[in-house]
Amino acid sequence: MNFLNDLIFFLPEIYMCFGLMFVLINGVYVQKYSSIATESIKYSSKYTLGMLFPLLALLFFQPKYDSALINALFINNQVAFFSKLFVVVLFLSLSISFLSYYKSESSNLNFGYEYPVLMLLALVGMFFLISSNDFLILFLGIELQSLSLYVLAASKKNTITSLESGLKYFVLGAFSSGIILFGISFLYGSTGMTNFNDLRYFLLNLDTLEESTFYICLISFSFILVGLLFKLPAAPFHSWAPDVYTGSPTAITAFFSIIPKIAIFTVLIKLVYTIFLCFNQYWSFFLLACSIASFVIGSLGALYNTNLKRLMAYGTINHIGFMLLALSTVSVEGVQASLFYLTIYLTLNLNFFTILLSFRKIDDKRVLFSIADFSTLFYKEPVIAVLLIFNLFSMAGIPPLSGFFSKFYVVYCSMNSGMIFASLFAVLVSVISCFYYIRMVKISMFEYENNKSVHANTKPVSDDFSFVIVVTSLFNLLLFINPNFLLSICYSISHNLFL
Amino acid sequence: MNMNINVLPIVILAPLVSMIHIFLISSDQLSLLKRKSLEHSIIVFIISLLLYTSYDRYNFEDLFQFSFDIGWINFINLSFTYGVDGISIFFIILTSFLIPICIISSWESIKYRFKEFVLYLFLIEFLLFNVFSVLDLILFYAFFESVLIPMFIIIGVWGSRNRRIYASYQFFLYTFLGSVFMLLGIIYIYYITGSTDYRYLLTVDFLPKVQIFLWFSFFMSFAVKIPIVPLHTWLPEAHVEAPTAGSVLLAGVLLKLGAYGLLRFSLPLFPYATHYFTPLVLTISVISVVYSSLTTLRQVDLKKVIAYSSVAHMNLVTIGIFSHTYVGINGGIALMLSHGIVSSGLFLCVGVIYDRYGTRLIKYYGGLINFMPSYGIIFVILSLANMGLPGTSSFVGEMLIFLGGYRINSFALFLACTSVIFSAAYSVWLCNRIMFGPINPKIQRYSDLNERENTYLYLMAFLVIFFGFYTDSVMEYFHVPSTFVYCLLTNFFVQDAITLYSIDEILAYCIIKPNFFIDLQSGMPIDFLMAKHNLK
Repeated sequence: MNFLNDLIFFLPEIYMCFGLMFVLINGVYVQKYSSIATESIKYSSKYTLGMLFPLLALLFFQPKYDSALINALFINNQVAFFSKLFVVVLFLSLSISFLSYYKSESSNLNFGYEYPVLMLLALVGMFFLISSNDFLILFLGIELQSLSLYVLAASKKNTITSLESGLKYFVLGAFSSGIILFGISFLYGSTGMTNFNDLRYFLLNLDTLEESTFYICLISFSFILVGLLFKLPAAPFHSWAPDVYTGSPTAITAFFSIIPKIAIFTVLIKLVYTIFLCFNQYWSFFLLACSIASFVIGSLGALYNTNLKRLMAYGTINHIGFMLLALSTVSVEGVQASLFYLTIYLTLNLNFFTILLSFRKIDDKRVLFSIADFSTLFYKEPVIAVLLIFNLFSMAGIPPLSGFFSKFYVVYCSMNSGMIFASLFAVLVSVISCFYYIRMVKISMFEYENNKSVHANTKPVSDDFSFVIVVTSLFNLLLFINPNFLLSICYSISHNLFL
Repeated sequence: MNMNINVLPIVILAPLVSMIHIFLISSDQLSLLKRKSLEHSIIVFIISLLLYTSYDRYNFEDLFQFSFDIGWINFINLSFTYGVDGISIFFIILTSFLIPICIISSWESIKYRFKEFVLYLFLIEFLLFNVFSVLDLILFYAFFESVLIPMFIIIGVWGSRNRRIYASYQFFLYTFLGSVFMLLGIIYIYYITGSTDYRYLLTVDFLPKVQIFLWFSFFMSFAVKIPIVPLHTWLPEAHVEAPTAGSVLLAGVLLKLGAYGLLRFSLPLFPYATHYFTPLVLTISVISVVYSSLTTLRQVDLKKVIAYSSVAHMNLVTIGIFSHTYVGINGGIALMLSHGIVSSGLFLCVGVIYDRYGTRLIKYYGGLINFMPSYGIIFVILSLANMGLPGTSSFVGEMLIFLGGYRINSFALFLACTSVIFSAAYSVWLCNRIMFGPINPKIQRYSDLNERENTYLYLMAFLVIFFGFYTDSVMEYFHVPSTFVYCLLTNFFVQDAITLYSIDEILAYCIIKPNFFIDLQSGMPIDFLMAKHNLK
């Protein structure tokens, strides 16, 4: 049976579905029979973490050859493999740091056993999204992922900001999904196809197309592109991001500022660089415009923000601008640079959020909220403060930290394809964005005179946090020695995309 | 001295080893920490002296000695390429000389987080060693920029007043904004040539228009570092707010990065653009010299006096470098090195009295010579050196700059020469106000230098006079690299002329006729042999 043969390729997904059922059932059981109400989250977070290691093994033992599966609805190739691996590795590190987070947050009675389950469900959606080879599967993947994220954003039921952010995310997310679906239906209406391979060959020679078909394809493509940029978020489709990032619980912000980006970005690259490659003169301009808009909005929006999560949201938009700049070059190096940037940026982001989660305010035991909360960090936690500032300098793009290389490579690619003014703009913007990153450095390092530290310093940062912080910081500091390794992986992925 | 082992990697890695050792010492054991850090820094200094002893100063075949190469990013053909020439070894030695002095001078003035402070000092040392010895443009940029991180933190954390935060911001953003243009220029070079290896790029002839663009992008970054006048405001702020060790490093080494970069990259790589922009540079430099000299006269803060006089001196260096003469370039390098000792010595002097009285304002001082004779001697020697008195190391550099500058533009030189008068004015006046006259009644403590301060201040004063008389020990090493720069500027091949003649002959001829390689009227190179016969 062809179908059963293909199922071998879906072992990770099947495993995850069963795993999350198990965590769910176990959570229900524990919550019903345990005397302590917060016991369930402890178990479910541990089980989730435990089931991620076999998942990694399954991913590694998956057949490596490129193949189209189940009537070419799915595709299995190097791009999918590396994106899934990256998703799992990042989720694994997040889960490790979440262990301590749940422990400290459990007194608030906000977190039930559902959170790891919802995250796993989002992960399944992302897996489908990454390996989709058909617009229907793409849409289903996006929806599965987004629905879980809507719930997660609204999960802190007793705070109004969380509910607000969940609602905003839901309304605007559903809107963007609708736009994507609209584009897909246009495409289907004019060509009768939803499969990527078919569409790719159909659009290969534009000369033979009728003019009306060509324009309808272009319009539907624009709809899909806008929808995906909305999910990323790239300016000018960014408006939901700052609010949602600010309102959600910090751990959830960490989750959806890191993990879904990989899946959406992979799909974006796959769409523009394979199926719609023929429209490159349109989308390269469009992506360039989006990246410039992201630079402006990302850097200026963050400039006078004092809310940490809001600032990071604008920072994300700024970084997305760099990735889109690399993509708009229409070259293999561009894809390589954007993947390189994505990897480094997400690792830095993970580092930042882990450090953020590892501190508590003294008065109300909540996670740090404003940038002023970082004050006197250097005098209380010198090692973590130094790692934090190296992370911030790295995000600002100061050599020899990893953030510099990602920016350098992007600017190099855009210079190589002759976009001198765009690259000039990019580096000037990086100076502006440098300003708000070094303001955080200033607050955590230089302010000791007022000496009223707001973060807890009664007990040391827990082992789970320290592990993740140290690993990601080492990546940040030592990438300088050999960036070749990462670059060659990105290169092989981007080459594989065109095959 | 024939050594089979390449000393350069040892020198570069030495500060890292020290960093690791100091990191392992607990910050509670303060005395052990201080002793170990001092020992380590002195060891690094001694190791770096190996470069001086084993450098072959008359080797015209390979300009960059001790070179080695480690593969890095294969994708875009980058590698860690290292090598030093006769100019850069002195900057390495200067850096490693100033670090132990920084550590002794902050023995008691750094009251908190001494361990981190020393770690940052060693980090700066490591990064500066790399800046001065790396031969790849992108790596040069990376290290050039990365010095900002520890310096920013040193100014911000250990600075003296609340204004330090503003100062560190200004320092950081000015330098960063300037140098992103250099990054673009470097990437553009890579885009044209496919390499950023300095030694390869020396063989490339860029198109004139490209040269102008690239030269300008490099100049943007170096101009902030020199600093030339419209871009200089970060410097007094950063100097004043930094702790003494920070000011010493800033004035001693970091200020030299600008002129060093011009000499190393802008001149040899873009000779056409250098000629094209020379009038601009001379104009700005002359304005800077006069402006900053006049500004110095009006300052009330001791550190600001020295900071503004540094601006004046560094712009004199720029005039020397852009004089397009062998002597001028040599003088520029000599003045840079001498200023590295003189200005850092003066900052140390300011640090000494700041530790005692807690103020840097001139009006609170007066008559210090009466109870601080030892301090007075050193302060006067260094002040005289700052104004370029014959017999001190600055004199050599300034005189050579004036000799060279006369050739390129006598009017500009006339204006620049006013700096001699101004520097005499502000130096003597400063001495007069704080050293002599009646004792200021506000002074409460009467104590001369202690043993620790005596040691390093007398060492500085000794070096200033030593190099004033025995300049050859240093100048001989410049001969090959500065001849090389000079010849690249004038399209003249080094090997042809220089290998045949001794340095004394060339130097003697240079001083008599600074434009010895090129006939000014025809613009054609004169055969050096003819020149030699004419001399006789």
